[in-house]
Amino acid sequence: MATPPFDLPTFLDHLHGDSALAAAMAALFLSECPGQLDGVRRAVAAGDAPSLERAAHLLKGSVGNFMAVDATEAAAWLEEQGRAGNLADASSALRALEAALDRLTTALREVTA
Amino acid sequence: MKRRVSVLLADDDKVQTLMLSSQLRAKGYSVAAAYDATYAFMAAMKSPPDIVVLDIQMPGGTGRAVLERLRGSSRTMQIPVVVLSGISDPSVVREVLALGAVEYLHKPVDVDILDAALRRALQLPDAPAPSSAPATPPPASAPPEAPPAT
Repeated sequence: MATPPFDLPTFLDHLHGDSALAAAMAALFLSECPGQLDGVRRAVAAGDAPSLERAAHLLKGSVGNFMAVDATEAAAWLEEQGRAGNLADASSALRALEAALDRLTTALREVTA
Repeated sequence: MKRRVSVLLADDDKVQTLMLSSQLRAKGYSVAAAYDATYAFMAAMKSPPDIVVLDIQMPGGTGRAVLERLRGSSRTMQIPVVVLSGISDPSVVREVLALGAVEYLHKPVDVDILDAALRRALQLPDAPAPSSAPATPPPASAPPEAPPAT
């Protein structure tokens, strides 16, 4: 069974049940996510390890707000590769991140609906 | 009239900043946000807050550089700085504490944990015991839950 894209009960608990704030955070993330992902893609394409570390770190923090385990782990994997300066697995890590973000954004659109 | 404790949130994670701004305002704080290092320092210089919550990795320079600049200016050197970061490397924690940060918190942080850290840093009384009331901001005329700064 697939892991849920994010842990909605824990997320809401973290917000002390404030569903309006949850919806506002989801809407902001949905507007910010494409630009943040582009930053990761550009860094991977350019083989730019320091930029990848920064871009993946930012995205990791953003998805971490939603307790999104798969997306957080994928972003952390890319961040670590950037920090280590070894991008040998960056393309496959990017694909994992894109897939996790696709699932997460689909789920978050339901929160904002 | 009591003045609310002012907090500058310096973090490029806009989603987290939205969350913490809303939650801290609900606790009675006055909150401003800065999304990059340069603006964070400029905002602190222009209108010194009672306390800064600072991320380490930001565009426009690092949080470390902001911390050093805050400590180097007579206008901001007394402002307590709580670092809030996703970096768990102990050497980074030691470094920013040595630079003058009063606390190092890891993301994601619960607002009650952050509130307690702010109160410790500002030597304010502990927060009242949690109630079953919903987390909504107090009306503008109500006294803040966070005691006024001195």
